[in-house]
Amino acid sequence: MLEQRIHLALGAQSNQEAVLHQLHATLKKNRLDDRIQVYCHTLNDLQKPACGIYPERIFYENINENLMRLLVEVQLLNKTPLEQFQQLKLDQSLIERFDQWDKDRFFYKQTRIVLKNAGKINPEDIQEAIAMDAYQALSKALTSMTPQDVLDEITLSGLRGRGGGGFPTGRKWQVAHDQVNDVKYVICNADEGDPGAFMDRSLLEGDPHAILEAMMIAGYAIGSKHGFIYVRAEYPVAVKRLEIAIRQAENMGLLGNNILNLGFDFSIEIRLGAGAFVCGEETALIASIEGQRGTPNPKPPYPSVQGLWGKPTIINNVETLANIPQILLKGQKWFRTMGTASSPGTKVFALGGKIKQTGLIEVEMGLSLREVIYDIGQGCEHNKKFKAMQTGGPSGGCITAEDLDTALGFDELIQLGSMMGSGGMIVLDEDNCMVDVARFYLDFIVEESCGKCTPCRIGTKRLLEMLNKVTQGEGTLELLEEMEELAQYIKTSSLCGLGQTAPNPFLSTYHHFKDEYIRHVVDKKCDAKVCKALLEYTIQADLCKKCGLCARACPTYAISGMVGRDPFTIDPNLCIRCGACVLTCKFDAIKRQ
Amino acid sequence: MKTIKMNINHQEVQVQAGLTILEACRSLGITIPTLCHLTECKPKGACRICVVEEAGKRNLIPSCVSEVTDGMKILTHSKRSLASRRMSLELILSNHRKDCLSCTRNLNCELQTLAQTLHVREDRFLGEKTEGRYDDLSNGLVRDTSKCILCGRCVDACLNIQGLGVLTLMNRGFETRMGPVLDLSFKDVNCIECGQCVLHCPVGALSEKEEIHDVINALEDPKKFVIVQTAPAVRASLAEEFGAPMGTRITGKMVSALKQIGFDRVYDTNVAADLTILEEGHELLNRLENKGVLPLITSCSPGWINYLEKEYASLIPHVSSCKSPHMMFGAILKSHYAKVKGLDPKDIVVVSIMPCTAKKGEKERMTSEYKDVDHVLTTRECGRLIKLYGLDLLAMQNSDFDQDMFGISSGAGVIFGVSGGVMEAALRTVVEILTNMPLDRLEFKELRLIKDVKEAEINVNGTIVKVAAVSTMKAAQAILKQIQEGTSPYTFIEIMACPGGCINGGGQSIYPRNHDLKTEDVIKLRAKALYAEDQDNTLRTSHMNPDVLNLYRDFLGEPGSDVAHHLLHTHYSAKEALKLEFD
Amino acid sequence: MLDVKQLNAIKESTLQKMRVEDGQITHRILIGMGTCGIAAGAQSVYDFLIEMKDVYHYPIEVLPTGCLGMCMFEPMVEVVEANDKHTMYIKMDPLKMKEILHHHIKEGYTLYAYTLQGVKENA
Repeated sequence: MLEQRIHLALGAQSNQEAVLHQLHATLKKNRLDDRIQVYCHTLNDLQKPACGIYPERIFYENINENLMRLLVEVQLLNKTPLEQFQQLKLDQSLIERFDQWDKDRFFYKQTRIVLKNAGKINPEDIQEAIAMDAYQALSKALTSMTPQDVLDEITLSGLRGRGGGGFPTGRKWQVAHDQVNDVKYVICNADEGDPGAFMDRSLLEGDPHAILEAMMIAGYAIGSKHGFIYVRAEYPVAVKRLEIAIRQAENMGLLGNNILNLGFDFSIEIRLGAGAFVCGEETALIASIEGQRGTPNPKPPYPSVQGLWGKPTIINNVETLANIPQILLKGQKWFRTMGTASSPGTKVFALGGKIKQTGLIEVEMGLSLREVIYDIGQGCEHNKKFKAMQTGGPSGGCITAEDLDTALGFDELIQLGSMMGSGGMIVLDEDNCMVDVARFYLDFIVEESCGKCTPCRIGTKRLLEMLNKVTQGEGTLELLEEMEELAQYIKTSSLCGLGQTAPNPFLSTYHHFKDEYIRHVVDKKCDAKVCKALLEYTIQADLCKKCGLCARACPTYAISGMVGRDPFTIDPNLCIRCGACVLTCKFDAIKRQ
Repeated sequence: MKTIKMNINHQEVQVQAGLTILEACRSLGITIPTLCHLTECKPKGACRICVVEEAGKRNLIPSCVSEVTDGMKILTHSKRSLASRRMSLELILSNHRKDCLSCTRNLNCELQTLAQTLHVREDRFLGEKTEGRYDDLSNGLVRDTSKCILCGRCVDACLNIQGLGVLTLMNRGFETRMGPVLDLSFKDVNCIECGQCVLHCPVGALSEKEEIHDVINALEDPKKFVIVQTAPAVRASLAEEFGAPMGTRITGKMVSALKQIGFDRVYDTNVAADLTILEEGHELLNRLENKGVLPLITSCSPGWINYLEKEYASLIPHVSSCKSPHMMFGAILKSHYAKVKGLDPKDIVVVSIMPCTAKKGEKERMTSEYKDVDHVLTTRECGRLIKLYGLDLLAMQNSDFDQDMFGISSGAGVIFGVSGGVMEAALRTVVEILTNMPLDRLEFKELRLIKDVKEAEINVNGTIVKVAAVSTMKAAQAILKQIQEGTSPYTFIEIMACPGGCINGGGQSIYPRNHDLKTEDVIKLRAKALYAEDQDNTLRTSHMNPDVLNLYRDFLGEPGSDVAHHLLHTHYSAKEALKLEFD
Repeated sequence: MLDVKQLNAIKESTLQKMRVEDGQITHRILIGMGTCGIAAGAQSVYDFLIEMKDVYHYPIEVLPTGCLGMCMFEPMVEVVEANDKHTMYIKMDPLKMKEILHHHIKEGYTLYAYTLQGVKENA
């Protein structure tokens, strides 16, 4: 677990790097390298190395190798400052730089467990993966653990499925293990479909061997000899790297028969998904692999009992699997030190939307949403007001500013009416209309519904049509009530998880932003100025300079007036609310409301 | 039988373990409606009409897939489950064409009934509808997806009952549509037009291609001499169209009704069935004698013949070259009969009333100048025709089929309508000819079982001959594979396309799938009617039928003669099966 | 057939190589070539570096790698030197890469303006 950060500033001369070397060596010797993260920065004009220790904000300058060693042993190990060396007269601009580096927390609040190799090794070279401990966990499991030991370790670690539901992985495996059947399957679910989520893609592209290893461990644990990776065809780079990884592992004897000469057989095949969101659902995924129409089937029977071709099958998400080798290697106790009691470990999120620092992050569970947004993501763009955060993709819900201090965790997010989902986090600011956001997600759901059950096939379509009515100013209060009734029905009566969560975008926004909906249907106003049909463009006569530029820009000739004589006016019946006039007007005379 | 205790609608009850909630409730007389469920197939849980409330669960559960467990508490008609059920139905209706008044399934539509039961009183949801497809290019079947509710029962029937997989669902979400692959017409895919999908459709999305108007036009044309013939299985099902219980035998009343309508002659296809037995029996004897290609397979089922030509063309030499009975009858009517009666064959219109949709395509097979049969009506169309003429079938008097030339038929002919019947009829004749003495028992019990594959062993002069009667293409696949591999133990095989034979054919009366009635019960009830008619007949073997013998004496010569070959036999050719190629 | 012992041997020798300690190669250059990197133009940077290495014999090793998570700064290039010294250059293109090859690889000066911190400070 990371506790402290050292920023080391070095001059351009390479002789100063001995300090860096000493730092690493001493940390390692004192077994601090797990707890302390080192960041090395190069400043060409710096004469002597300097360093800053965070979060304490203690600075030292003129560092040499001896001081570095002392610093680690006294300051970091015993947490006592080295009074005599603390250089408070450190150049103020340098301190500011240190602060800036540390404020730049995109990495610093992160704990990279599953992403540890992503961006650090060449994923197309199995040797580099091996250097970073790939296949060590497998070799440990095969040489010194029984399948039940592996299962116990995973169960005790408290690892929960990272694909959305948060089902305990150990329990899933145990059920499959307990089934008596000579054929069982392990499936890696890499059919990542949430809009704005790309965790699995990055993992597969950055560290494919971790997934292969985890599947083999799973196979060993439940007694399976065959695995499938179901990956969407829209990820060609991931597919290519997986293929390379499988080939290299096979050539090396790390996959196939008699793995590591330890008598364990396992083979892995790749299956490409054809782009259906619903095929991320276990039973639909199984149907798809079997070559059938990718539609969900009722559960029970659960796949762990009766899955692919009727055989016991475990299906795990890419990220879940990526945790497995680390848990085996470092032990479940280590894993439990991270995160919360009910949600141990870390979670990868794809941070996006109206936020300054977008990207892929991995944080410990238990971190507050505020820290994720303001420290890692550095807040909203252009200093706009934060409005809500959408988590869990289209199946999830939105979280408002009041709930930002909630700790990240499966149960915590469900309590807020959202869900962890696969890890998409989309930040919305004051310029987002929540009705429009709900409409966007519902549109996705309608597009991606498989069409098997009535509530999802027709219900979501009707709900979308009703939402469209609201955005077009045709809504009524009765319509809102009817929408809520329909949404509740879809939620309780649909066949699969996709359908049961399909109305969440509406329910969640309606719950948190009811007044916004009421504004839309009663006052026919969209305060975020997103719903075009509710907008009104007017030219303020006192500001209008009668230049006529707007009239020329208008594509529908909705603006009339006399250049130099009469102020211009907009005919609302002709106006298509494109906003071209606003962009052309040099005097801000055109008001949009 | 293990039972468990549970609580249904606040009543403590004991039910059989292992049942689904739906089945358990039905066993207690509680009806939970469904639209997508078929007892014979794996439950899908798609329509969500059957949802019930389980205590302690946030979501409603589909009763068709959920098994009962000990101590379970279920509310089948609580406010919540009823509201959800109605909502599902209202949503289905919002995407349905709702042109009930002009629909073939009006008054026999499960959706209509359900809307009544669930008290739907308004068009609650209005909105866009899925783009529909209308396909009536094939001879037998019509697909109209604007009425489809996507229950998937036709897909199940086609794939899991018939083993074909012609019908599928395509696209996804709101754009989902039922139909043959790539939205092609039935005529362009490997469809055998058996019509099982029509039988299983709860609404009017799948139906037969109607020919009633052609028949009426023919009846109204004074120049035309319109002859109607009725297949054996029709008499066991037609009464259902008028509300009579399943298995009601209606032969005499049916004949009266058809005469009332104005057909110039009403004949029984059974006469031609006897003729078929003589021809086919002769073919079998011939092959046995001359070491011809064996096993011999029957050719009465046009669905099977379509399947043969598309999928198993290599087995064509095994299949009897005999036309099916109604086609033989048509050929005789337009040749010998026309000559005797002094009619111009082109003025004769032959109408067949058949339990079959594939017969509509079969009649287009031309072997001579004239079509053997001009129009084929299904049992359902026959019912509609009778209603159109204002006749109350159940109240009619009994009459006999017209007696001139073709008035006598045997009991062997009538059992053609049930799977195993053709085989039984053939054996009655063939064994008697081979052993040269009458059989002591005419019934072959093994062939009267309710099974997809029935086997029998017959001792003919000391040699054991193995025969089989197969129904459904799914069951036939294994038998046909055996023949291809040369390991078939059989000498003679009867193949029928529909499960249970023609009595459960795709043109028969459609009964609501309310699950109290299983397919095997349907087969049993309707078969009983035919076996009874066989029992009541004094003449029970085809080769003793005097009318048929006269026909040979006056016209055909002997079975397998040149004239017979010309008129009563046909040939098959491999049809290019649809092959899809993907990169 | 690989056994556990050989697996560990590969691990040790590759680690050695990755630490850039064997002298032959002084710099290990990792280019973020996940989908995000490729979309931002990492391929041209990669091709350029390979060409420089092959034609001008820079003592470098050029490797594609996955996504570090900061997709908005792609193409990202990380220069790894001895003593576990990492320098992260962001928003790279072949022209900037040429400067880096000259200053950083040849002369040993970090081009602060192109690093993650440098770009942010100037922004």
